[in-house]
This record gives sequence, structure tokens and C-alpha cells, in this order.
Amino acid sequence: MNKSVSLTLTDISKRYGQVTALKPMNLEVAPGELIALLGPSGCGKTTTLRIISGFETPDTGSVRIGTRDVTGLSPNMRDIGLMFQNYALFPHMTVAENVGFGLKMRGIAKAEAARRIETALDMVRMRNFGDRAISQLSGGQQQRIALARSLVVNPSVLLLDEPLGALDKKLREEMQFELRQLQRSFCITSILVTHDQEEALTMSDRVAVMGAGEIRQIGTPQDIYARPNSIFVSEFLGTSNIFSGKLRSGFFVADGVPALRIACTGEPDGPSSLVFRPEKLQITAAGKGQINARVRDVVFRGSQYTYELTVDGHEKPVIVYSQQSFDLPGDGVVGLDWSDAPVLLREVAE
Amino acid sequence: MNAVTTQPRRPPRRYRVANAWWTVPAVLYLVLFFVTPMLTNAWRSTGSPAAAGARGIWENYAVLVTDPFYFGVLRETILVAVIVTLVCILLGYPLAYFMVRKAGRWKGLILFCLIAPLLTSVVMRAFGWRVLFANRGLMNSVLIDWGLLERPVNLVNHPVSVYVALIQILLPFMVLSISSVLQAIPRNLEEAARMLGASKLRAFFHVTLPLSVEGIITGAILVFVLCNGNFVAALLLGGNSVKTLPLLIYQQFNLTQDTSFAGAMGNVLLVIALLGLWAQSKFARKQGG
Repeated sequence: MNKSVSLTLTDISKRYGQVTALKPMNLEVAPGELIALLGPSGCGKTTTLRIISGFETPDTGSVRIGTRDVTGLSPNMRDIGLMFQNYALFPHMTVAENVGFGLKMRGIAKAEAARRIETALDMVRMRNFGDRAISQLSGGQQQRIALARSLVVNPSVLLLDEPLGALDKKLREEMQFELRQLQRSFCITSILVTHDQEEALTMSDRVAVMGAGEIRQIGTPQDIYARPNSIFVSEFLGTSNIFSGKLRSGFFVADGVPALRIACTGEPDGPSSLVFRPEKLQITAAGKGQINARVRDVVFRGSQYTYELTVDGHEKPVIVYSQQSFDLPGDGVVGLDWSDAPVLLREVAE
Repeated sequence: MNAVTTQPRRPPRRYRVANAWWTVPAVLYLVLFFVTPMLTNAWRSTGSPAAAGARGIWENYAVLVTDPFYFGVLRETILVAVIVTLVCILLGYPLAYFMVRKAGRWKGLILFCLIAPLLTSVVMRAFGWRVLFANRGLMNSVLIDWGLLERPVNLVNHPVSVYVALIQILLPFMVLSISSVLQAIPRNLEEAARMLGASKLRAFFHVTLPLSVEGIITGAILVFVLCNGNFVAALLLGGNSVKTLPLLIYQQFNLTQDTSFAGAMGNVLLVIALLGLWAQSKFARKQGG
């Protein structure tokens, strides 16, 4: 139902004085796809968003929407919808006037505009709110109006800047699904900028994890979660138990934990790390697992238990998620086992 | 804009140290030096001992409105204030906008330059303009040196110098009123308008300007009221070329000593000022919803 187009960033980069905000970056968003730019603050995701929307000019490179090169175009000529973090609704206009603002700027006739405003309000389930003042709306309602306002003009690309950051947890989870459904039904090419890994994982087709002004890894959420390519990515996305060690003649041996010895064939020797996801580890009776560990704490989290274990010779606690609780022996010593092979990274944490 | 003000709660009675008697000195002071003179003035304006005979209570006011000369003065007073206010809006808004949105780290310096003149007496500043505008003053000698003028233009005792001085005196009030409101407008509202297809100019006229009207109104009323009461500029620079009510009051006291007529004129000025304040409070309440 939409004129879905691709969004292509080619070699865009940006420096502010001595600070490199964005190293030359390439990104291709397929028509109708939602890509999340995920990263800590200062990773360059906001700069990327501002370059796409036209508020910043890249030092190098180009931005293309479909076949249109929009690099030199001012923001109002780009046909991009942007949903701001704090919604940026106009406080001096009613809900309907807010939603209709883009239509008014495009010179669309009043009757046609009124019809489209109504459809848009229907779409976000805010049908009878047209005459309300913005100050009368709750945070979640404002969020819906902001979405309706950016979608009513049928933009080629939708940018979402931390769209759910200002909502409380329950509402945020609801809106994640709703936003995702709307984006799918419109089939609109979208970029979601967020520092919230859960938001990125649940909402996007692909995730681009950014750090220090560049994309560190890009792929489907499942792919990145299961196969992070660096310690940075594995730690930013989900919880990781990382053992640093050395790879020598086909075996990885963890530093300080000689019992943790795993065959890794086909890899050259050198410093390496192993990454275990907490749900891939299993607790067994002492001596029955691959290594032994001591239970330090158990936390009940409703849907699961979180075990915090210590492994002799390993500094950080090891986190294990489990569906069941165990009768722990008096000394708390248990075995640790894993069914899936852990991820091998050819780097060690500093 | 959102008039959600939470009243600070008063502490329970037994913890309150202050009581109503504490206001007595201030009330006495105000009664003695504010209320009494006002009432005296009001009473004085109703009759003139100088003009022996039967002038009615409203005689002085009637003269002000019916006598062509005095009515002209009343009209000119308001006209000067309106022109000065409009020029202050036109000059002040761009300056306030620049200061808030573009000046960055220079904002403090601009603010200082705006406020510093307020620390100098108005009389000193009026004399300053006299020196600048005089026949052999700085302005004329520079313009003649540059070949832009052949003969000196005498702006002292000319309305232009009165307007210039009034604008210089009152502009800071306008800029400060507007900038404080502009400051509170999130910048991403303009960006949202841009993303929805508005050019820079349309974003300004549809979003920024409507949201800053409150600052313009506050500044305008402030400038208008202050301008109405200012006689120094007209006295020191106008040389009778601009006749305003405050100037006339000054002259009534010093030359003709018709204090009852001066009192009546003072009350008219007071009413104009009160009207301005009333209009402002009415507007503010409307904005508050």
C-alpha cells in the first residue's frame, strides 16, 4: 500500500573540530525494512539520524532515498518522517492541527486533509481526540499523536529517535508491538535509533550495533545475539559471560581456569575469548559438568531464576538463567555444562 | 504556557514564626508615601485654588480631553509610545532570537551589553545622545568626513533624537521579555515543523512566532507603559518638538505651578498604565487556559 523505497548511506562521515562523530559509514536499508541503530550515547547514531534527516551535512558521502540523492536537500524537501524522543508536539495547536500540520504545509485541501487526519487518528486509536489540547494527553497518547503526525503525510522513510524512551515499562512494551505492526502494515522503510537493546531486538528486522562512530556489527537480531563478532557487541546486546584466554594448537584454555579447555580447530594461535550466553549454560551436580562453580546468589525473576556463580580463577561472576530451582548442596558447589558451543572471539577484554 | 503551578504549602500554624503584625512597618510606609500622595493628588486634581471660582470636579479632565492643544498632547503621548513600542518589537525580536538561538557562548556578552546601560542614569544617557547628535557632534563630523553629508544636520531638539533615545532606553526590556519566552521553546519544535515540510520561514511563522507572542505582549506593554511615563528624553532632547504628558506635567510644576492640572494629567497617565497592566494580566490568563 506504500511506495516503499530503499535508503542508502554511502561513506557518510562527520567531524566536529577534533572529534570524529562518525567514521565513513555505509548502510543500505531495504524497502519496507526496519533497521535499528543501537549503541551507547556518543556512538554516532544520533549524528547519523541528523544527517539522514538533513539537520547536519555530512563531511563526505551521500544519502539516497530510492534513486533520489537528497544529500544537499534541506529537511523539508526530503520527504522523511521523524518521530522525536519527546514527541515535539506543537503545544499551541490541537491534536488535529498537530496531525494536519504536514498536510497544511503541503497545501492539501481542507476537506481532503480532514479526511486524512481522521484516518490517521483512527489508525493510532485516538479517533475522538482531535479537539483536545496537547497538554490534556498522557505520555502514551502524545506518542501516538506524534506517530500519526509523521505518518499522515506518507513519507518515504520514517525515522524513530528513541521513540519509547519517555514511557514507563509496561506502556513501552505495548507500544513496541503496536509501532512494529503499524510499520509493517505501512511497509515503510524505517530507522530506529535507540540505546535500549530490548527495543532494538523486538522491533527491528536488522540491528546495526554502533560504537565509537562506526557500525560494529549488522545483522538480524537472532544472528547478532547468537554470534556477536566482538566483546563490545556481545556485552552491549544481552548478558554475556566472557572468559578470556589463549588459543594454542587447536585448544582454547581460559586464563586462571585450566579446567575450561575447549577444542577449537581451524583457528590460528593467539589471545582469545569465549562468550557464554546465560541461558545456554546449565547447572548440574558437582563434577558432572565441564567445570565446577559455586553458587553465590539466586534471584527469582518470575519467569526464570537468575543464578550468580563464581568460578575459581575467574574474576567476574558467571550468570546463568534457569527455568527451575535446584536443591543446592551445603557448600554451594555445582557443575556447569553447556549444550551449544560458546562463541569464540579473537580478542580479549582490556 | 501550561499554567500548572503548584502552590508551595504553608507550614502548619504552630511552626509559623511570622504573623500579620510584621507587615505593619511596610504598610505604614506605603500608606504614608504611596497611598497618601495618590489620594492627595486625586483630590488636588479635582479643583484648582489658583483659578478662583467654580471649576467643577472634572474640569481639569474635561480640559485635557476637549482643549485641542491638550488633547493633541495626549494623542502625541500615546502615538510616541506606540511608535517606540513597535520599533522595539521590530528591533528586539531579531536580537532576542539571535541571542537565544544563534549566539552560543556569546550570549552572556550580549546579555551584559543589554543590561549594562540600565545601570546608567537615564539623564546621563540622554545627555550622551545630545553629544552624539549635536551640530558638531560625533555623528555629524563622521558623516561629513565620509562625505555622506555636506552640512551638519541638527538632530538635537528634533523628534528623531527623542525617539532614538527612548528606543535605546527601552529596548532592553523588550529583548529580555522576548528572549525569556524564546528560551523556553524547545528547539526540536522547529525541527519537527521542518520535517513535516515547512521551510525555515514557515516553521518560524507557524511555530516559533505564535509560541513567543506572550513575550512580545509582555515586552510591548512594559515598553508602552514606561515610554508613557518618560519625560527625560523629551525634555533633554526634544526641545519642545515632542510634547508629551509627562513633559507637560513637569512644566506645570516648574513653570505655571498649576499643580491641580498636573495632578489630573498624572492620573490620566496612571490610568493608561493600569489599562496596560490589566490587558497584560488578561492575556496571560487566556494563555494559561
